[in-house]
Amino acid sequence: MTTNTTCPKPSRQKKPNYNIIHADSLPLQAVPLPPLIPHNPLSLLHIIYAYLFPSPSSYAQPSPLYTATFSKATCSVNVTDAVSIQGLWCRGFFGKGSLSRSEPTWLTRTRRRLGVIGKNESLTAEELTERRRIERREFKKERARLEKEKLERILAEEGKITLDISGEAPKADEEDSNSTPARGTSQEAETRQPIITSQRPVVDVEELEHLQLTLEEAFFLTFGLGALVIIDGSSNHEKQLSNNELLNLFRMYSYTPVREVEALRPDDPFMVNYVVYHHFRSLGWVVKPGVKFAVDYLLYNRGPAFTHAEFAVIIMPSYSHPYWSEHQEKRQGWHWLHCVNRVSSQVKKTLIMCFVDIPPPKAEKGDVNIPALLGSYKVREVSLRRWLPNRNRD
Amino acid sequence: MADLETDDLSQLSQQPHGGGGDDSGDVDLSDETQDFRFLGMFAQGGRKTDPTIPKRGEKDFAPDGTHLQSRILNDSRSAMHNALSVQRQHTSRVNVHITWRREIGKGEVMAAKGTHFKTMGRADKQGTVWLEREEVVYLVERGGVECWWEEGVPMSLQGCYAECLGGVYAYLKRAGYIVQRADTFLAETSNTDKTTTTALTTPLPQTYHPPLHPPPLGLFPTLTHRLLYFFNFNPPPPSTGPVISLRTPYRNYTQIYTRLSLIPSYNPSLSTSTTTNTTNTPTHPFPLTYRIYKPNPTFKKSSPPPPDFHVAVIPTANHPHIPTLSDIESLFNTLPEESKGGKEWGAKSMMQRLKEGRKGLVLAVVDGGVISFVRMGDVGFGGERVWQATGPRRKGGGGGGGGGGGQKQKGKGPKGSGKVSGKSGGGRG
Repeated sequence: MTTNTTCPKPSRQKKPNYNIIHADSLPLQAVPLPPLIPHNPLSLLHIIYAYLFPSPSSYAQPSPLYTATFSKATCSVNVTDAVSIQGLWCRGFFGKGSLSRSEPTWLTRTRRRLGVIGKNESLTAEELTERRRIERREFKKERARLEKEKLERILAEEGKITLDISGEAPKADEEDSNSTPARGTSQEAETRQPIITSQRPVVDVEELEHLQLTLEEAFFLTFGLGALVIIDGSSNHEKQLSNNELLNLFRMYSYTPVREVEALRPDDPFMVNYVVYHHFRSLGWVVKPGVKFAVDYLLYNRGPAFTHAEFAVIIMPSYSHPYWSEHQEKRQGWHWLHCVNRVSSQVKKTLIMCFVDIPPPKAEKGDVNIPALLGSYKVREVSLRRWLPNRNRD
Repeated sequence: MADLETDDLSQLSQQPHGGGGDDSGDVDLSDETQDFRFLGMFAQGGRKTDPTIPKRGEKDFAPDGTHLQSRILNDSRSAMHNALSVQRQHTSRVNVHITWRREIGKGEVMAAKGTHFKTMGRADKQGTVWLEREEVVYLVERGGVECWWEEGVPMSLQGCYAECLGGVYAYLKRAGYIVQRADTFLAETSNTDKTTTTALTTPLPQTYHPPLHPPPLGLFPTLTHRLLYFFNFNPPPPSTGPVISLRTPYRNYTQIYTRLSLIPSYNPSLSTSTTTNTTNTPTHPFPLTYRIYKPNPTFKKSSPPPPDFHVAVIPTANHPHIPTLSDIESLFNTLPEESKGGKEWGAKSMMQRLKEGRKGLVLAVVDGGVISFVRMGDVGFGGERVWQATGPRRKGGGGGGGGGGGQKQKGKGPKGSGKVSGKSGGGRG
């Protein structure tokens, strides 16, 4: 059986230029100094001027800063204004659309469904995937049909069945019952589409989707980058939360049920996760939650628009400091490791065990020095891969 | 746009056809059913000039009712039966006797003959060759030797199994590798579950590199950068953040990422070869067990080359949990740096470095006789600057180069390099 049977390669939709859309890897801008032109001494003055009196348009953070609200009920940070959503997604792939798989695309999809925009206008990632799935399903159906024909030919040659020469029509009936509904729906869809697009509604759709940030993303954007302002959503008067308030709040809310400030530990889920998040973000990786792949984080080089995640990270708190000698570590068994490793290798990702060395608790009064706190953790990675004797012998 | 789930699954379906050569973890060959027709050429007694081992084909699934399929199946079956029914014999020239010495748990070879002893056994000063227990069971199993009790009674296969067991050894041997006990395992430690928590308190500090230093300043923009650092970049981040100062211009992404780096992380490049004393390792809960070599006709057991892989056998009965960081650390510390296999560290792509690491170790996890192999690599993400390595960053720039003109060209330039690295990073198209 040949798998590369003649199936005309369907023309792919042209993708937008992600290199331009996602040119910045963080929601910060870096403005280079004016060039120094050797034969023009005045350019040096220009440089010096740009140093001493930097214009506000060259500041790193966006102006105005992006805004978000912390919602205690959902334990997430929500962004509702369009500029912030756009900025946070396009510059660093932060957050997730509340009604979408990843990028907030609900509005586009809904507008297409209602016929406000055309069938092939600005396709979203989900729609491209859906089309690819349909293509693949068709290809597989075609391949199965060819295989079946071949089998029937052999059986006919051996005299076990008689082949219908005129048999295109009965063949369609013979086909597996599970393939017929698929065909039915695709036909339906084809017939339905033109009717809708012919009568374009006048009313446009209102945006109902917001961007949802994880606690680690939100803290990185405020504490790390200073690009986001987070407002306490529970109080009526809009109060901006300081970084120290946020840290305590996020640490408390990383437990279920929520813990009091006094009960926080150096190995809070939030602290451990944030250390790993900040570590990889500060190295230039785009870090996304990895729960779909049974891991803690996925690491993208440049971002999900460009490549698949190359690495899947599991976070392993490690208690090597003498303070923890009495501490009973929760240790995982081999079954768990094999499960995670197997899943990762099936989706062609390298598994990274990220050990976080937990420091002893520090009694600090008042505001914590957050950079120093983060610096007291240590990170070490170990890569994992299934190893097959047959594949490594050359 | 690449999405999380479906694209990865789609690669699965393409995988067997795409030539993903070095991806080890994807298709398990042992899952396939075998076609034994090729055995016919051995079983018929005739000496074929070139008995090459055939490639395995695609899976045949359920019976499809054709004569063709059942004929193939029958041929395969009868070929296997024929092959098994042939009497196996060896000439007296290569007949080897072993006496099992129970007290020391080794087999004494009466006269070492044949090709096996090129890679197996170990001679003492008197010239007597001794076989470890896993070597004895392997050779007896394959009919290469006769094993006798000390009392002068031939040992049965069952008796041999009872005396010696070595699942991982036999598995790797049958897969074609040359397997030798590691030095740390030579003095066989029967007390494997002796939990010796050696005082591995804090990891070696010099191998962790603290937050990045400011990047080395280029030749030309030295003056400007110095000034810049003087004005803005020397102060540590304020205790309450943000790390990236407000109302401050940053000139490139290198400055931004350098400033963001706060958390000390391990870098294997900083650890200078720490393979000093391997004597204290046998007390370790996870000792290195075997050194294994790829099949090599010029192998000499008296002067073995550096091994291709190091294997630590871990019975789950004794070790129900996965190793802790200090376990892994001390295992890595007993390993020499991986220099074998041609490529220099710097010549590897970033992705390769991050996947393989400076050192590698294969864990053979044995659970009730089922063996699964996992390779651990000593990697360090902190040593790689991803933001510089790949990708068009219109405003990235970096310290060097000729200023900020021609941004569009910059945007185009690295596009090619991004593609190249994408290909080398795992061949996923």
